[in-house]
Order: sequence, then C-alpha cells, then structure tokens
Amino acid sequence: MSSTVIRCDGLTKYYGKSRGIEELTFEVRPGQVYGFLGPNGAGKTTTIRCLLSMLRPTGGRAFLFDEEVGVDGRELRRRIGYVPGDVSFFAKQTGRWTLDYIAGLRGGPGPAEAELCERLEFDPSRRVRELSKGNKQKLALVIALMHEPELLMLDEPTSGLDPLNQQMVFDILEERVAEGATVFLSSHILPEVERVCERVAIIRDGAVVAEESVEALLSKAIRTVHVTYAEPVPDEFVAGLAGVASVERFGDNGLRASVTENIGGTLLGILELPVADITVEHASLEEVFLQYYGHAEEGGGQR
Amino acid sequence: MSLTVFRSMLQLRRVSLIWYSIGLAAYGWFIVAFFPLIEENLDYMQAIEDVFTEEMLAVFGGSGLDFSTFGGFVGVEYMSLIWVFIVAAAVIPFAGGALGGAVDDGTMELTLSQPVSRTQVALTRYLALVVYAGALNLVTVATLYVPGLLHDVDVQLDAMALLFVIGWLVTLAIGGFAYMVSALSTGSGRAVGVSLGVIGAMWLADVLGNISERFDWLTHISLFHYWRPDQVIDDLTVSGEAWAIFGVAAALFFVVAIWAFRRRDVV
Repeated sequence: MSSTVIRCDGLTKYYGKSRGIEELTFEVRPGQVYGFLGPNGAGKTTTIRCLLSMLRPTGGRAFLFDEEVGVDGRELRRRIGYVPGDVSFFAKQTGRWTLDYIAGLRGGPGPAEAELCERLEFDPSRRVRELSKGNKQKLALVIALMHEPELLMLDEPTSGLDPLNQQMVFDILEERVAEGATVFLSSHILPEVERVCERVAIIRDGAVVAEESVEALLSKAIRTVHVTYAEPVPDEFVAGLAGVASVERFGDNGLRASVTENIGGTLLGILELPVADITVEHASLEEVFLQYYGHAEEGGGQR
Repeated sequence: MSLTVFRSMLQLRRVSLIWYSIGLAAYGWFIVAFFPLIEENLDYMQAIEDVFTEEMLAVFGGSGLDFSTFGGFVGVEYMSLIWVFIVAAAVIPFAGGALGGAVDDGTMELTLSQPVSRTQVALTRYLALVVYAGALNLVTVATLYVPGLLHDVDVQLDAMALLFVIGWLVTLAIGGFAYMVSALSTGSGRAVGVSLGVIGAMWLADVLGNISERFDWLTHISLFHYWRPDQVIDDLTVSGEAWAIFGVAAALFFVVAIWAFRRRDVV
C-alpha cells in the first residue's frame, strides 16, 4: 500500500510569466478526505491538472501513489476518478455514448454505473447538448465514480446540483471513503468541506498558506464571546481586557469580544465582573478561510 | 493504439465523410461522363484554349493543356486543383479538431483523465485521419473507374491504383500539416486557417511561377507543381521527386505533431 496517495513537492507552474502555482508542498494519505480550498484563480485547478499530467510543471515534483507523475501516466490514471471544474463532453452524443466511451477507455463498463445513475436520477439516453448544467455534473460524477477508483479528485463536484443531489453526492463519497477510497476535494463551498474533510490546505495566490486538520484549524480561529453583565460595565474594565482582538459594546451591559488565542485566560478576565449570560461562538471554516483571505479575494479566472 | 478512440473519431466524422464522398463521387462521375463529348470535339476545345490568355491557362496548371487524353482532361478539370481543395476541406477540419479542437472543447481533458496515454491518443487519432483520407481517395478512384466502364471511357485500373496511392500521400501531407498545427494550438480555427492559407498560397505561387519566368522558382515550393494526376493517369508515372516530397512531408508533419502534443499543456 502506498504511504501517500498524493504528494506535491515544491510544485510550481507558470503560464508564461503569469503565476499558476508556486512551490506547492503537501501530501494526502490513504483514506483521507482532503479539502483544497481557495477562491477562483488561487491555483486549485492548476494543481489538479498538474497531478493528472494535463499540465507540465515548471518546477517541483508531483507524486500519485508514491510514483512520480509523468506525461504518460496511464496506469496511475486507472486508479483515479476525476470530476473537472468545468465539465465537457462530446456535445452531439448521448450520455449513454459517453459512458460507453469511458468504459471502452477503461477496458470495461463501470460496475457501479447503473446504481449511480439511479441514485443521482440521471437519464443517460439524452444528448449531452440537451442536458442542464446539473445533469452534466451528474454525468461527470457517474464517470468519476463508476469504476470505483482508489482516488477521487473532485474539482467543485456539487456545482450546479440541487441540495438533494448535493446531499446524495456526499452520502456516496462517505460510502466510498468507508470502503477505503481517498478523496481530494477542491472547493470554495466551505460548509461542504467542513462537513466531509478531515484535513485541508488553504491556497492563496498559488501557494499553500495553511495546511492542517479541520479541527486544528478551527481551534486556532477567532471565537466570538457574547457577554451580558449583571450591571453596567466601566470603560476602564473594557480597556483592560487582555487577549482580545477586538471588543464592542451592545446594549447597556453587553460586550462582544473576538478572541484569537488563550481563550481560557481571556475568559477569566471577562468573568471578573458578575455575568448574567455568556455564549462562545466557534468560527466556521468559512470564517477561518476569510481570516486568511481578509475578505478581499473575490473573482478572477479559473486557474 | 486505442480502439475506442479510433472508433469514436471515425464515428464523430462519419456524416462529413459521407457528404464529401457524395461530392467527390458526383464530381468524378460528371467529369467521366463528359469526357466522350470532349473527345469528339477536340477542335472546338482547341479553339477555346486558343482564346485563353497565357495567364488564364496558368491558373489551370500551365500551358499545353491536353484534352485529348483522359488524364489530361481529368487533371485540368478535376484532380489538379478542385480535388485538392475538396480533400483539403475534408481532412483539415478533421485534423484541426483531433487535437487542438479537442483541447479547446474539453473533450481531450475527458479522454486524457482516463487510462490512456497522450502518445496513444495522438497516434490513434492520426491513424483515424489516415483511414479517413484513404476512404476519400478510394471514393475518388472508384468514381472515376466505375463510370469509365459505364460511359466507354478507357480508365486503366493500374493507373487508378497508382492514383489512389499517390493521392493518399498528398492527402496525408495536407492533413499531416493541419494535424501538426492542431497539436501546437488550442482550438481548431488556427489549424484550419493556417492550413487552408498555406494551400491557397501554394496555388498562387504555382500560378505566379507559371506566368512569369522571374518567379519560376516559386513553383518549386508548391505542392501543385509536384502533383501531376494527368501523368499518373495517362503514363502511370510519378516522379521520384514527388514521392520524396509528399512522403517526407507526410512523415515529418506526423512526427512533429506527436512530439509537440506530448510536450504541450492540455488546457
């Protein structure tokens, strides 16, 4: 068994002079569900395309199943199911034709094809050009999953799907992971990443800016403490609170404080006055992500 | 070689193959059926030829047009020029779509994310181009030979066999060039535009070279100078120069295309 399923070691890709990804280093272990987060243009798709040999890296190395990725890594790709960020098929052909085409390239029909079509409510008899975005996404998912690959590389897999189908996709992914598959999930829909991933990398401007377990990332994140005191709070008490990133008043007796570190020590300081009510809000992955991006990175092309 | 890729390529192009075949068959049949009338009226044809200026004759492949033989007539009216543009119009979009076009419409990413290598895909799609070109040439010679039997025109079978082989090589030189440009581009537009532009430029070079001695050298960079279907049909001859040029072009463009496709980014 491979010690890593994906390993990038200083992986770099430039498109001429413009940056795709730069010195990307991370690894994904067998059985992990690994989230790869970043807004459009951060370099998620470029990374996946380098791993699949679509793009030739400018520098660094990429490994799949401990084997270095080369131009003709056909046997490696036999072990991978891939959903691209922008799905494309032979427009004039039917879903059935497309599934048969993939089956031909893989040496036989996918054992899970019929079940997946049924669960995702996908009708393969229609021509691709007649399919809605959601149905094209379902076709891409059936293609990626039908041969039950060891590694699933999913670039925005629930794009265009309704909530029920999104739920179904994550149910299927959880089943696959329980059977031993590894999932590499690139997404900017953070609640779904938080739900299924155990480890994430946050990518910004083509570089990994954070890489750890979801739990560890959340534990370091800002918590918001809402306190309602039993009596009005003096200004000098507010000014003297240690360990808070920011603090603001609400109502006559309320304080709202953002805490980034030493939550215990900060709480002891807050509790020095008599408290009527207190709540501590955990940051979501989305808030952690925005901490790294400073609310500023929106838009840009897919890279 | 991937049988799935091969089959899908031909399947996706079957409608265009049928239409181009119908076009070639109709044109070929018409030319053969018309030849006996020309043969009986050579004096009139000579009178018409005398009316043309040297420049006009150059457009059709130089002076000394000979309508008295089947090869001479078919060469001028069909195979030397019209046929080249028909087969170019058929194989260039095929070649343009096979690599660059597939990268652009995303189907190459779909294919290459499966267990198939780039070399396999590029080789197989070229093989499909070879078969497609072969089919067009088979239709070409069949629709000269069979109508020849029906209209009492003496069309030699061995001449048709030779025309089939050299015509196939010419088609592959044209298609191979487009395939090479396709391997280097994203989208089929550049391959189609550049390839048709080059053929058009070669034709103009041949016309210019035939009109003016000063530009005679231009004919040597034109495929139309080496492509002499009249000599193939009447004399069963293909010059060594023509074999070498079309053969080397077909092989070289193919090799460069495979090399370039292995190295490029598929995006």
